[in-house]
Amino acid sequence: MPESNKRPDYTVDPIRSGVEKEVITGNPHIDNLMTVVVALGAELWASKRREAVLEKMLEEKGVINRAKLEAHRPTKAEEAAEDEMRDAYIKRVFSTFTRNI
Amino acid sequence: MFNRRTVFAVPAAAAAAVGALTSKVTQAATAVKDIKVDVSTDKEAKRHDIHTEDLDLNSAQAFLTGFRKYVARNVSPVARSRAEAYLASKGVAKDKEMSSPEAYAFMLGDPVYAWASRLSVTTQQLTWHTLVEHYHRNADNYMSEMEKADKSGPGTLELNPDLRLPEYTKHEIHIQPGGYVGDAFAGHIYHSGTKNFYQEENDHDEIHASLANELRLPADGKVTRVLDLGCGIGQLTTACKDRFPQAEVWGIDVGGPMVRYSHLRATKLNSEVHFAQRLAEDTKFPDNHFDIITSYIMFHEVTQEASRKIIAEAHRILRPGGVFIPYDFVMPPKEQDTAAGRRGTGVVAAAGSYAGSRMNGEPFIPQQSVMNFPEEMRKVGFTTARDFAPVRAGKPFTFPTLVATKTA
Repeated sequence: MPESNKRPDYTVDPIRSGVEKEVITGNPHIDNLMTVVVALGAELWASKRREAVLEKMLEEKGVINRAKLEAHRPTKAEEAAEDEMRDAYIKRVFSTFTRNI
Repeated sequence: MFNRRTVFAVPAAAAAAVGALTSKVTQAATAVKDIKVDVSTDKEAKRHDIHTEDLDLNSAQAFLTGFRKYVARNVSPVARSRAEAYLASKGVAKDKEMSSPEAYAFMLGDPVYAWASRLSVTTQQLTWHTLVEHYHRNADNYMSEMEKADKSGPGTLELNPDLRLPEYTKHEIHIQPGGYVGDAFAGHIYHSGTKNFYQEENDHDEIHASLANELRLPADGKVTRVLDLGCGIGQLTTACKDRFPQAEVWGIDVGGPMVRYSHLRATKLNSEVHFAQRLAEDTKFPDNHFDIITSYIMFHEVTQEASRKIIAEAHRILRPGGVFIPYDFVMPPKEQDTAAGRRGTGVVAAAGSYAGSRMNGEPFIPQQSVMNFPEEMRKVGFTTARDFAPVRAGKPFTFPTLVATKTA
C-alpha cells in the first residue's frame, strides 16, 4: 500500500490477489517484457498526444518556431530537471523487472 | 450513440422542494422520469467528468482502453480460432472434462492463447497501477476534496469504522490493488479504471441510467424508498434518484472508500442520495421499508452463503408488493436456471472461466455461475418472474431481467 494511504479507520487489510506473481507465458522474462512493451506503448502514446496538444496550442498562439524546436539545447538546470523526470519515467516503465516471483 | 437522447438532470430547486422525504410523497403512483443522457453540451459533458487533471495519465488510460479493446477484438479471437486445432494437435477432445485450473494451464501451451491472456492481465494491472500512483501522489488534494464533501449535501454519508467485514469482502476484485475495502482512494481508482472496462459507456453513467430506466415498478406503482445494495461508487444509485426524484434513495456498500467517493460524486451531481457503509446481508433498515431494492453486478462478487443471507435480508426490508431486481451477469436468463449453458462446456470454456475468475480477481464467479437465484428467492417467500426481454437488449452489457416480488 502506498505511503500516502494513511489507512482511514473505515478500511481494512485486503486479501491480496497474488496475480502479480503469476507466470502466464511459461517464462517470467517473457511475461515481464510483454508488460514493459505495453507500458511503453502507453507512455509513448501519452507523449505523442502531449506533443500534439502542445504543438496545436503553440501554433494557435503563433509562438512555435519549428526550426528552433529542432535545434533546442537544454541549459544545465534544464538538463538536471530532465534527468530527474527521465529517472522517474524509467522506474515507472521498468519496475516490472524488480518483481519478486 | 448518445446524441439521440436529450438532456435530463434533476433540477436542484425541484429536488430541494420535494425534500425526498416519504412524508411528503403522495399516496398515488410515484412520479417516474425517464433519464435521458445527452452530452452534446459542455455543461452536461462535464457533469460526470472523471478525467483527472493529468494529461499524461488520461492519455495512458486512453491507450489502455484502446489496447484492451484491441486485445479483446483482435488477439483473443485468434487464440480462440486456434483452440480446436491446438486441442486436436495434443490429442485432447474439446469436450474433455477438466478442472478450470487444469484447462487454463493446458491452454497456455498454445503461445497465442498465452500471450492473449498475458496481455489481458497486463492491461488490467497497468490500468490500476497508473491510477494508484496518481491518486496517492496527489493524495492530499483528493483527501481534502472528500473531507469537504463529507460535510456537504444534499445527500448524506455514513461511514462505520467498527463494521466487521466478512472475509469474502476483502478480496482485490478485478485485481484492483487494495480492493474496495483497503485503499482510501478505492472509489476514485475504480471510477477512473472502469472507463477502460466500459469503453464508451461510463463517462456519464450511461449504462446505469438505462438500467434505472428499465427497473420494474411494484404493481401498485408506489415508489417512496429505493435501495441500491452493493452500490459501489453509486452510479446506479444516483440514476435511481434521477428516475424517482421524489423517492428517498439509499446506496449501501461494504467498502468505506467506495461510499465516501459515492457521496463526493453525488454531491457534485447535486443528487440527494444517502450512502452508508453497511453489509448487504445486514442492512440495519426496518422491516417492510423499501419499495424497490436493486443491485448492480454485486452478486457475482459474493459467496453463495452471503447471497442467501442477502436475499433473505432483501425480503425482510422490502414492503409487501415491493420488488427486488438484481442486475448481474450471473443471473440466469429466462431459458436457463444455471449459467453452465451460457458459458459453454469443454476445455476452452473451463479455461476461460479460470482466466476470468482467478486472473481477474473474481474468486466467486464459478460458484455464483451455478447458483439458482430464482429458487433461492422463492425459498424465502419471493415470487419470481423473468418473462421479460433482457435489459439493454442488443447493446453491450445486456442483463437478464429477474424480478422478485415480496408477496403482498
